[in-house]
Parts: sequence; C-alpha cells; structure tokens
Amino acid sequence: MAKLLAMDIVTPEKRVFEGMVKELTAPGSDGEFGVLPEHAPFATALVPGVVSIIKETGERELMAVSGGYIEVTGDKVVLLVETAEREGEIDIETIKRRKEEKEKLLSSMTKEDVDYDMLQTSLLKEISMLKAVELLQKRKK
Amino acid sequence: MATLRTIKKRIKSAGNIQQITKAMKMVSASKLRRAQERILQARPYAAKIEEVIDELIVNAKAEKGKYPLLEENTGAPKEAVVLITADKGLCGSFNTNLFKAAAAKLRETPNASFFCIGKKGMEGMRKLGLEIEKFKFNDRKINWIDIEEISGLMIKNFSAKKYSKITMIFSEFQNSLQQKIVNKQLVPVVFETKGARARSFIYEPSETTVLNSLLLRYIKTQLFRAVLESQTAEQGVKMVSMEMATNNAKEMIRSLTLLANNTRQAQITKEILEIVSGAEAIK
Repeated sequence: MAKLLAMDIVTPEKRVFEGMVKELTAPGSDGEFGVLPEHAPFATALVPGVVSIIKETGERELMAVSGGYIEVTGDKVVLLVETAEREGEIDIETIKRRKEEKEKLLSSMTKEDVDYDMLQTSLLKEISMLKAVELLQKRKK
Repeated sequence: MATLRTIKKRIKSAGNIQQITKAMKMVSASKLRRAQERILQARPYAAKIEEVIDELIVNAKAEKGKYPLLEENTGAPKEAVVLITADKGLCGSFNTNLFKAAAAKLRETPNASFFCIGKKGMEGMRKLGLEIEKFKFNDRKINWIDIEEISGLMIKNFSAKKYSKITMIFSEFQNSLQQKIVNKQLVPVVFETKGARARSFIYEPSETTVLNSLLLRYIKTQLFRAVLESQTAEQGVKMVSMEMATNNAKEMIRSLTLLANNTRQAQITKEILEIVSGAEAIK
C-alpha cells in the first residue's frame, strides 16, 4: 500500500480536519506547493488561498484558508491556519455583503473611534477569506 | 416586635430572591459547559503550535537579536500587564482576587502599562487612576479577532521597545470550586522544550521569518487560552456563589417562618387571654 500522510488542520477555534491523506497542495508564501508522503522536513508560512487534499479514499477535498503556517515532518503534516472553510460551507455572497458593510462602516469612522482597529482587523480577515473563496470557486470550474 | 404582616412580606421577598439565584445558577451551569467546550476546541491548535515550535526551536541557533520575541527589552522603561477579569460581578471573590494580584504586580513595577480584558478589571484600574492601554469586554462573543487586535498592539509596542516584558494575570479553571490565579510571563516567550529531536528543515522564506511569525502566533494562542480559561473559571465561581445564595435564602425563609409562627401563636394567646378576662369581668 502506498504511504500516507497524517494530516491535521487546526484553527484557534476548532479542529477542522484530522486524518490520512495521499497528497496535498497549499498556497505557500513563495508560491503554491504540493506535498507527497516522505517529503523532506519543511516549514513555511501560508497565504490566503485554497488547500486541496486527496484523502485515503481518493476523494478530493478543497478548503479555503486565510493565512497561517504549515509544517511537514516525515509523514506528518500540521496546518495551523486562522480560518478554514470547507467547500460548500461558505457562501460567497454572505462574505461579500459582510465585507461591504464593514467597509462602509469603516469609512464613516475616524481613527479615534474605539472600534476602528478592531474593524480594520476583521475587514482584513474578511478580504482574505473572500480571496480564498473566490479561488476555490475558480478551481471548481 | 415585628408584626405578622411585615414578616410575611420578608418571607415572600426571600423566596423571590431564591428563585432568581436558582435561575442564575442554572444559567451559569450551561454557560460553564459551553466555555469548557470552547477550551476543548481550542486545545488542538495550542498543542500543535507547541509541538511545531518545539521542533523548530531545537534547530534554531539562538543568536542575539534574531528572535526579538524571545528576548527581554532590558533598556525599556516599563512592563506591560494583561489583566483578564470578568465583565460582571456576582461571582464571589473572583474579581477581587485577580485585582489583588494586579495590585501586587503594580507595587513591583509602579509604572506598568495595563491591558484589560473584562470590565471589572478596567473599572478597578480606573479607580486607581491608571490609564489603560486597551480594553476589551470579556464576554462569550470574544473571539480570535479580538485577541489579534489586543495582542497586535501589545507586540507593536514591545517591538518599539516600550515594554521590557509582558505578563498576564488571569484565573485558571481547576474545578468549579477552585480557581488558581496565574501570573504568567507572555513576552519574552518562555518555552519549555520537550526534547524533540533535531532535524534539518527546509524553510520558506527563511528560518528567522518562519520562527518569528510562529512565536507571534504562539503568544496569541496563549492569550486566547487564558481568556477562555478565565471565562470558564468565572462561570464556575458564579455557579457556586449562586448555589450558596440559594441556600442562604432557604435558611432565611426557614428562620423567618419560625418567627412568623411564634408571632402568630403569641397573638392568638393574647386574644384568648383578652376574651377570657373579658368574660370574667362580666360574671
């Protein structure tokens, strides 16, 4: 039997995926890369984009992630990301609407407002998520 | 002596209080469960990030100035403290204890900057006339974005050499009867290696960048965990103190009922006496 990778995808709020995969591709800070079993130890930052994994069963699963970190050690892969959304779980329209709302709110505020920083951070998150989801949809076609 | 009517009134209001505290206890019991679930959900991320850092740090050659988050800013004028309390009262000595710890810290370093998560801590600090760098409500809606915001500011100031180090004070959940006040250094990162074996890694873009961004993430994770811990502890204390309040109300009702019965009996005796002596007089 072909070798497999033990993979973990975790976000601060929850564990998104845990299981064996045949291969995966992820968006690294220096470009997209693929990992197969027996990859050399490897560590890099991730940028918002699509993580694609092929499961034990040969099934492909796509996930939109927004920035994080990946570590590959022998037959183990750990993905630490801020958010990870599975295909089908997200709705591009909702994110778009949320982003627009926040942008509007942000433009009506000044830097002195209490919520300014917070809103800016969450807006950045929304933008990176949107980017990831858009990539995801493009990939599907 | 109190009249029967006023005693009955007091019994009734004690009963009302008992009902309220009982309901509040139920509420915090369910909130406690939810908070515990959140901790469990956050645990894998924390565990993994520790694992990863552990592996990388063995390989990293600790040169001075390479990893600013591992070093103390010795020349900096002051320390920073993150105080994590509850938003609300009615939870026994929970906030008071945390506040005492903060005051002790303040005696050590009188000019420390404070970051407050939780309304009670902020109010206390204001009372002492201290400026607060940043404040966040500590409610159940608090999430990773809030943590990122507050820690972002902290790290920015730390990197600008404003703080020599950052500590956090929070309550750790042990069980619903016990909490532990924890006074933990957040930055520079104290990391206990569990002895992962050294491996040569391929880093992209570079070892320093990767490890630095990981350390930053680690700090955030620590803070996030502390917030979740403190919420769990808060609900635990609240549950216990509401239970106690319910019992106190019950006890109060019992003694008041006794008093009411005595009073009623005395009144009846008095009335009988009056009737009897009235009848005697007519004879």
